[in-house]
Amino acid sequence: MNHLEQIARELKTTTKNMELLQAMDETSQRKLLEHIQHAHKTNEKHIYKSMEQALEHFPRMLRGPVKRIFGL
Amino acid sequence: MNIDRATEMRRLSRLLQQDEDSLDYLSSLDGAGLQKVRNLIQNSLIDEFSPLFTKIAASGKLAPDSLSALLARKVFGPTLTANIGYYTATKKVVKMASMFDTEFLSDVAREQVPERAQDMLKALPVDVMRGVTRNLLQNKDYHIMGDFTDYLPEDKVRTLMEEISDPTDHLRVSSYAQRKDRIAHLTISFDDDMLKDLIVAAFSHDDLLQEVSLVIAAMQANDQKRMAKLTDEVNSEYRSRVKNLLDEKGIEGNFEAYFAA
Repeated sequence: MNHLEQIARELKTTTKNMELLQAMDETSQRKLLEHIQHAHKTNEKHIYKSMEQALEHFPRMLRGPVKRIFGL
Repeated sequence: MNIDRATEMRRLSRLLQQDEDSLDYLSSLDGAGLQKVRNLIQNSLIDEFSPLFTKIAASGKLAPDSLSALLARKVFGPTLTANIGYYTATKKVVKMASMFDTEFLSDVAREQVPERAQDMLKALPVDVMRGVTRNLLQNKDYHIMGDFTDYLPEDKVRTLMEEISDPTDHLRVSSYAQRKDRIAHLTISFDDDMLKDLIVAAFSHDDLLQEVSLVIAAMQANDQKRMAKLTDEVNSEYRSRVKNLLDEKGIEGNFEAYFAA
């Protein structure tokens, strides 16, 4: 899988939407991919942390079922 | 609409949490290209958790607004509240927001993507937003305010601008707004003294001088002439400084009336 396909997959879009990035060289595409992956990881941590903090308000025995209801 | 590249770089750099210098590899993209990339990234960050946000929003659908507001504040916190808002009926979101204290609502605003919250921004009473504006200003969250400036109805922006007294703050917010035409329209409604203060502030900071130039370029010919007159009244050499900056930075735009005056 080339970098553009990986970027499209990260962004949950089609490679057609990536046409504007085709003019970029391989190194630049790789850097963009790394920065997008970093943004996703940071966002995931942020959301999971917020969810964990929310769950702390529930009695311990209810946290598992609540997590399952929300698909976590 | 002309998409200002420098503004988009500032926004993208914040979204990716990277210095602008480390995004040099995007030099082949113009403002519109950068905006497209930013929108794709921003949407992917929200959409990744769309099933979670949808389920939480659905679970609160039948709850009284006051209970939902209480749960948002005490349990879910600003990050989840901002995201759940995209999947909740606007009427309910507005009622909940009106029950939040300024501190919490400001934290929610910091987590929000204004593009995704446009219906709420249209419906939320401007008085509720005043406190948020003051809070964001106090914390120098210019990038958040600039983002919102693009998507709030113009009459609300006009009202909220009254909360900003420091001309430098005006320019900092503007530097994160993409709708320079809107900023130009609002700016020109200031009286001469306020405009002169803006000019003095702009010429005291090189980065802000560039910003005020972009706003001037978005003005009508008559308004550019007024700005030229006021600029000369502040300092007769200032307009040549603008000219030098535009040449140096290769900034293009319609400055004809400003320099012809």
